[in-house]
Amino acid sequence: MNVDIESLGTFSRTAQEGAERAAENLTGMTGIDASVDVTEVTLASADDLARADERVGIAIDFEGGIDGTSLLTFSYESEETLLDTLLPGEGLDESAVAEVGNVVTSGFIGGWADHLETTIDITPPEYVEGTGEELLDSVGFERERAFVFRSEVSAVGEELDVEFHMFPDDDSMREMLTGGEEQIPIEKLTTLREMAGAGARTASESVSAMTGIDTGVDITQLSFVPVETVPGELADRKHVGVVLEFEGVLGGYILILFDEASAREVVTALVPGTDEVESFEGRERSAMKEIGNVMTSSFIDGWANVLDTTIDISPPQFVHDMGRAVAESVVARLGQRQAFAFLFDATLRADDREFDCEIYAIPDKSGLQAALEDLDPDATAERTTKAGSL
Amino acid sequence: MSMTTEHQPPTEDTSPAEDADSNEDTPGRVRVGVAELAVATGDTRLTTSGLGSCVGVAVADPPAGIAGLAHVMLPEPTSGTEAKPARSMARGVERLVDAVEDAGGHPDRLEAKIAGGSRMLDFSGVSEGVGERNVESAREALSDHGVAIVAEDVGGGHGRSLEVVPETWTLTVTSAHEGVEDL
Repeated sequence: MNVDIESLGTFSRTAQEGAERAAENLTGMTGIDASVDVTEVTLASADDLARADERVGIAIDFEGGIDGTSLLTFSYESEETLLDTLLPGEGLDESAVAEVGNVVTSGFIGGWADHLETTIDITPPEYVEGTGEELLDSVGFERERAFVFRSEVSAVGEELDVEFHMFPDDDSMREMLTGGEEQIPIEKLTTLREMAGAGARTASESVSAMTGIDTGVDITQLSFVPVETVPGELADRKHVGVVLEFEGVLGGYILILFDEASAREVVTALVPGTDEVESFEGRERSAMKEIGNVMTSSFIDGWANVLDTTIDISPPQFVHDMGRAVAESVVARLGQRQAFAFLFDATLRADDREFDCEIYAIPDKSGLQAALEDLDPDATAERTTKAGSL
Repeated sequence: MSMTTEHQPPTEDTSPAEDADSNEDTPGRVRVGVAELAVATGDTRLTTSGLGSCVGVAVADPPAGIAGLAHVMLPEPTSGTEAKPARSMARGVERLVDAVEDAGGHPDRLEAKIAGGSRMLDFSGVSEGVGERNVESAREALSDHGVAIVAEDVGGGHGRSLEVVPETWTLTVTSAHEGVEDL
């Protein structure tokens, strides 16, 4: 299957409109000021979707201008928030959630019906509950399915965490994404995701080797998003980390952001004689830059290998600020040249402690498209390093 | 159930802002995303978070208790369609001023407050100084509409979050390291 990048952008926007309507519907029903944090089209992999935490939700199938299935899920805390506003009678919790799910899903699907100027029929809502894997099974998720549209909706000052996944059938996606000028075989996008996943694993190994904190890659994802939605991927709380620019055949930015507590742990491990990190100045800052540098080169080396090219990495810029403000400073630069971006993100976690490090890579679109044209879909990230100087 | 191109909301059609106004216990809040804008009245708050090099432009008719907030991303428009209303400054400010006037704001009474435009990253190249250029273009665009800037908190190297209360015409700026300041 070939993918037309422009169409992907258009549909990403359609999904965004649907998400906004869904949030309005949720507000209309509950009085909670809900808004959309993220909407993205991702190249799905079952591993990434099958998260461990348990959620409740509503599965709905749709058919018409586009066929497929959808899953709207809430955390248990969010379910309580919703039930507080809806005040269902005793024993009616499930049907109240199903009703909200139905109305919110209608918002999402309605956005698509408008865009495709057609009618889309939806099935009655089915109440589902369980881990990510169980939820995927309950909607009959086909592992080889290519694209997933994903949105997150939340509200300021309320415990509300809503996630919407729309899984279009392959036939529908094929129909929507073929034609147009900028065709990329889907296998190449899969290769891209895999090489980025390999890069994240190498970066994680570097963190473990340098700090002794046993980290692993929790989530990796490749998505295609309007640039202005990238900051919404991050929490607003303060993060510590680095931003680097990479240049060569492939240019773009890398953000490596730790939550403050994890940053303190990392710095304590790297700077001998540090008991407690008060601020991130001097040696602490240098340590953060150093680990950011090593993680970035670990990450980028794989890309340079697969693309058989040299990628130069700028010196790391230290940041300690609101996560969204950091991301926004990057997209304001990128947004001058492109409306959409491929966004790769990975989350590193540790088994034995609270640890959160996020890696975002945003290659510039024209460079990436050129690189993808030359890409051998069978290439892997396992060859010897050809990355440029640090 | 069937979806058609006809938009049929499930309940009485209320925008988030109007809905929030009807709730007298807690003031409503309207979140403004990157490249978006919104208008509110009374004690309904307009908020935007994570301003880095973008600029938050607030425009109000203070006696009427009407205010709007735009989170503008770029100093100049880019080619192609701009799906979001406040992606670039001149168009964003024009739409913001129009929206405040549509909500009942009187053109002669409009004032502006701006915040943001920081330089958090220090890379070289053509995209450099986007924060600074955002601030400059905000000044130009507001001046073109005859709207005076009565307060500002711009530049620096830090991120900001903003909250606007229309009835008091307060712009509260929260920074990661600089604390909270009312403009």
